Amino acid sequence: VTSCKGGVGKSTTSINLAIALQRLKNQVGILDMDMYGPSIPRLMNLVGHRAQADQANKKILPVRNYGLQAMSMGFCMEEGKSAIFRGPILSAGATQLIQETSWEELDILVIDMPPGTGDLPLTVAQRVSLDGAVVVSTPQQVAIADTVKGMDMLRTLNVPILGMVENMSHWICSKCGNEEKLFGEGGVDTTCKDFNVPLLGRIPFHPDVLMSSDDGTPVTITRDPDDPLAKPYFDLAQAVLDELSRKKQEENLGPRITMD
Amino acid sequence: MGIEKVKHVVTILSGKGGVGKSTIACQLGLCLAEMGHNVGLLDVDICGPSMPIILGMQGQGIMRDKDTNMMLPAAVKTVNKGAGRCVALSIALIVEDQTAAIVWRGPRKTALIKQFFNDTDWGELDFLIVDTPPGTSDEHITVLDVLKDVKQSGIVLITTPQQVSVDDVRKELTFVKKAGWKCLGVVENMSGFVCG
Repeated sequence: VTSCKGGVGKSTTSINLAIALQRLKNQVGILDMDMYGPSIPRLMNLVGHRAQADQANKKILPVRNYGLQAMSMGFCMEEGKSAIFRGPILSAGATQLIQETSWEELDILVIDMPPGTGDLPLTVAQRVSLDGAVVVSTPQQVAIADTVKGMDMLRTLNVPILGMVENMSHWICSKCGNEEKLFGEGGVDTTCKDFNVPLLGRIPFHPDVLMSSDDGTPVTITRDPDDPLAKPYFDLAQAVLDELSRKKQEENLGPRITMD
Repeated sequence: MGIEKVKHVVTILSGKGGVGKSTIACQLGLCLAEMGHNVGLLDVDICGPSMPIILGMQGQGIMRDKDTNMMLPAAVKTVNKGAGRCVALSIALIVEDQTAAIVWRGPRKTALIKQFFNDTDWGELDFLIVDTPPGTSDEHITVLDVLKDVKQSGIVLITTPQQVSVDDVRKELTFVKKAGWKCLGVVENMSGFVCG
């Protein structure tokens, strides 16, 4: 789950997508690649938890909650400490988290990417064979300008783009029901057309979703799948599964090349 | 000339992305210019430069001094007759293709940021406002390195009320303290909403 722009809701989307996938009967892991400001521990109500060593295999054991296996720099550092590293050390740390986490069998690993197009996304793309990217953006032009760069980077790195998510697409006042397009509209739809990728979902801006991030109780855990706040994430999860399945079928239909 | 004749350097930081650093950096710079001060706006976010979009300067290029080959920051429009000089520099003002990703590892970003400070003719400025990307990596360490001898440096931290953002600001404050920088204060952005 990626976006070149910060603050568009990648981590909130990642955790809710992961939980929705898990509730749709998949074994799911979540890997937090934000080395500077890892949010996944807070979003999973796991602040203060530290990853334990898997002594036998010389690896790190993922931390568990909500039926997910999770790994984050936040489980390997003291709370409140910042990772003040230049790129090469950051990349080495990221590589360790990728290669040395002792995941149990997983159907899907959701990787929550940090913003930007520098060392970390390059490291992930080089170390992991990615089945696809879900690109998150708000409709705002400043966000779209950066998101487009992120998608250009994905194309350059040959990472398939499964589609886009328009986050914070609109806000509904809890008192009067007035709907506001806080960040404008149309930007994500246009970008989908320009890159010929599907729009996987539109997720509204709601204070309860924000508060659930702060409380570490994602809406996909506390609410039913057909609840108005949870449903967009369950629909997104199904859309991601459908796109992964479609891409796999396309690969299988390709010509078989044999050498005699 | 670099930043020799800059009186105050204010760096805008936030551990978290999307809290409004660039918006506040631009608005702060423009307000100071409209009040009559000479202001420079420097965008060191190489991967996602937002300043030119916010200032309405997309497509505006920058020039180089013929004799010294120093970069000349681009002029920013101000409104008041008594406004000071306002100039800006960002990688988005240099590259032609605004949609192409700049996929650089740390050393290249570091080299360009040093050029933005030292190989640019900023002239005489009362304030240089530096807008940074989220995090505490190459860009921030480089800014720290370049500004270590500049006594008037200070930083302004931006956050939203959300705990996820405050968590990152706490980390950023740890970074600022370790660096020996002066924290001028914290801005709570997007602190409330008035329904239309």
